[in-house]
Parts: sequence; structure tokens; C-alpha cells
Amino acid sequence: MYRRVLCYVEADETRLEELEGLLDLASQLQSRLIVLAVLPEEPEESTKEEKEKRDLLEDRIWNFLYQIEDVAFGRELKISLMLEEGKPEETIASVVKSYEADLCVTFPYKELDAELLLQKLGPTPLLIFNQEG
Amino acid sequence: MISISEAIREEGIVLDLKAQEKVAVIKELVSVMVDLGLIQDEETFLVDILKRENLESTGIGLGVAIPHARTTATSELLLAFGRSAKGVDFNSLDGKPSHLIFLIAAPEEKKSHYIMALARLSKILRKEEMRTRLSKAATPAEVMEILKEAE
Repeated sequence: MYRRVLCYVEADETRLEELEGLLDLASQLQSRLIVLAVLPEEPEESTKEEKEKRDLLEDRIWNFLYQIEDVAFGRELKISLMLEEGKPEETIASVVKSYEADLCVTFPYKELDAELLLQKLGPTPLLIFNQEG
Repeated sequence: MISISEAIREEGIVLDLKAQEKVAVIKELVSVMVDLGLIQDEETFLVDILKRENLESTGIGLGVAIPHARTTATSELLLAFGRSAKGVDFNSLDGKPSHLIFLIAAPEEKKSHYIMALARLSKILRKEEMRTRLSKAATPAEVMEILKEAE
């Protein structure tokens, strides 16, 4: 039923252990997992300090994505990693559409507008994992 | 800190891959590593690499693929690079063929180095300028220079 599950993650706001439930779900559904992170668009002009900060953020994001991949591989899950630039809600919806994901999964991130995301996703269901229940 | 340019050698760079299909390309790059004496057990390494390929798409899009594995077949972090003008189908999500292919091998116990190398390489290859330069590099030495600069 859910061939492709898109999971949006924020590297600085998520611990690897929090993804256990998601990996269990993907395993049960036998879905391909597309793990997406979004980097804010690069401003036309930025200071050296801002560029370095962004550079470090990208390092952390890729590190986190490959850690997820390593765990998923250990569980024999089908997984693809993506890093895109833009506003999260728009980018998630665009990736869901482009890659024909049947389900979108994420976590209750402060910066993510879940209502806006729901609107943009249209008919694709959204699941928000709340580890605290 | 792990360095991409230290993990690759000029002899590990193939600017014109002969193979045109995913498994054949992987075998071509693996044999380059074996010829350099960097892989102790070719068969084990191939099994480890292909196991991952069967589960996931290491084609990360934008014409790039990074087949990779942690394996008992090596004791150090290794990279090989192959370029294909025609492109190779690595089942990338974007459906496009891969022209720049980096093969990564790392020892089982060096997980953090392995992940750091994958992350660093992905970051470098996300930049269009880097992909263009690697596509146009005329010699393995030039590829090495580009990777050094990118770090």
C-alpha cells in the first residue's frame, strides 16, 4: 500500500534513536524509505561567517543522513537519501510529488508548519511521530 | 579528520570506464583497487558492495553514484573514481544515468571515518561547479587536484 515513504528529518533536532519507530514502520510496510533533509536556500550575499556556518550545517546533515542509511542497511531496508535546498514545507511537498511517495512522515519540529505542509501535500497522508506519545 | 584526497590515488582513477552497466562498472573499479594491492579479498568486497546495491540506490542523482561498503576485505579507507561519458544506470531516484562514480571501501570497524567520507564526498558532489570540473578533468592528476581544492 505504501510503496514509497518520504521521511523529512532535521539533523540538529533529531536523535538517531528517534528514528527506530520509523524504521520499524518501513520494515513492516516493506516500503522504500526516502529520507529527506532540507538546507535553507543560500542568500545571494552572505558573510564568510555565514558561509562557514552553512557549510558546517551541510556537513552535519550529510553525516546524519549516512548514519540513518547505515542503520537502515543493517536492517535490510530499502533507502535513498536526499538533500535539497528551499523552504521545508514546499520542498517536502515537491519531493513527495516528484518521487510519487505514498506517505509522508516527519517529527514535531518547531520550525515546521504542519498545517501548511498538510495543505501542500494534498491527498498524500502525513504522519507525525511523537516519541513522547 | 578523514581526507578524501588522501584515500584516493591517481592509479585509482579511471577517466573512461569501459563497462556500461552497473555491476560491470563496480567490478571494473573493484579490480582497479585490487590491482593496486589495496583489497585483500576481491570476492568478499564485491559481495559486500553488491549487497548494498541490491537494497538501495547509491545513485544520489545529479549524475553521481557512490557505491560503498564497510568490509573485512580492506584495512584502510579507499576510494576509486570512474567516469562514464555515456552514463550508467544506478537506479537513481531522479532516473538520470550516473557519469561520475566513486567507489568507497572502508574497514568494518572504521564506521565514523566511513560515514565522514561519504558525507564529505556527497557535499563536494552536490556543487555543480565540482561536477563540471570533474567531468572535464583531462588527467587523474587533475582530478586529484580538484578533490584537494574542494576539501
